[in-house]
Amino acid sequence: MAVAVGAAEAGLKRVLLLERHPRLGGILNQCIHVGFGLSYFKEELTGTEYAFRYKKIFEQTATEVSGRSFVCNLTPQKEVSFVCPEGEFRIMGDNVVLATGCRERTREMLTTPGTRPAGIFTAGLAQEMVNIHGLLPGKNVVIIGSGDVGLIMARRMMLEGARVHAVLEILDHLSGLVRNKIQCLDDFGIPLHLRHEILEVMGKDRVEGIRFRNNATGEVNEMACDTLLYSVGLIPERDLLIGAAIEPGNGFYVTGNADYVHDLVDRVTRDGEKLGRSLGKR
Amino acid sequence: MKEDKKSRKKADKQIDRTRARRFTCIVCPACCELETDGCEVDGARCPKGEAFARQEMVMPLRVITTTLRCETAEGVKMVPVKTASPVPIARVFEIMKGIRALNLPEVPSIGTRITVGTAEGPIEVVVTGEVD
Repeated sequence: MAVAVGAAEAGLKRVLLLERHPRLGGILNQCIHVGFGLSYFKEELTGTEYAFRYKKIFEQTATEVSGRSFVCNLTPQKEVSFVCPEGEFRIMGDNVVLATGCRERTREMLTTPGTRPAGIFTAGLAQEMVNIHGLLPGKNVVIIGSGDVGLIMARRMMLEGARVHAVLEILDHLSGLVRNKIQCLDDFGIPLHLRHEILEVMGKDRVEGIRFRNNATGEVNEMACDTLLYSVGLIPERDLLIGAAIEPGNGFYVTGNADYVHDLVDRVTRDGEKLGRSLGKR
Repeated sequence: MKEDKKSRKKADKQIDRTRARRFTCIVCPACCELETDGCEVDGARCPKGEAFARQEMVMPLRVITTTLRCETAEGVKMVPVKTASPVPIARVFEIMKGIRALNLPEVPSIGTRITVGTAEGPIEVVVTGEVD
């Protein structure tokens, strides 16, 4: 959306926005917590409010929007193939911008040893389950990694009646913002264990517990739980470019979290608008 | 003006160290380290941080954000809400109980205020998002 707003400001007339979800706004739609927009809107908003307000700005541009549209292929000639409920389409553009955000790192990417029972989720997936679908992933939770989504979900799970036993972080410092540790962990008395590493997932059908090590002392312990949430980093989503062996540049652009991981959405918006303006001026 | 900003950053305010407490500001991502005796605040880079420290000293307040269940004709929808004003941390679980007991027949639009009954009296929540 931000690229389209920037491009419209600079006078670019024809922009097509392809979104695989029915709604615009991306991950903001599941971020019901406050902490967004302090810099861009000069007001503390929830993610959903931020998306709503920005959509109002976006709707003033003449951008054509195609929802439920999944881009399956790009070619170096800037031909974009996508599928949507109306069928399969190919379209040529002068410039192609990827504002595809990030993907969460999973347990598999960390290669945590142990069994593969039910009850292991990424924090963002758990957030979608709770906030959008009203489902609780589990009752006794341990969070692996101290990223922002993990911290936010620790509080969210507590509010919804689950117990969060601990947050384990392998590094000697917090990965997320300090303010999130205070209002999500400290307010609810959730312990944060730094320099702790998960060694094994236990359980046959459902997670029954984990084995973990305190890397400072070498001590190994077990903890019972039925749910693990992984908040262990985000990877910019650029598979479309990688699949087609295209390097950014030459009419292909990457912006927002697909470019690099931002910790504030306000900066994502500003990056997008800046790119949009530079495209409009061409 | 410049002088004023400097004085907020530097530790030159008269603080009664015997009753002083330290907080980390959560108003914005800058996360200033604050120290306050209830009147004077040291370490804040903005007036919001000073107000936060004074409030935190007496009674910490937080905005609760959660979802409200709506059983509509098209199925169950979860509507995002936040408390209309910050509430004391001690009341968080009691208020959550009140919000979770609610069940609306249709999806309210963004900005709608809804009164929630809790054990210690009603509070207001505001709808913060659109649901489709």
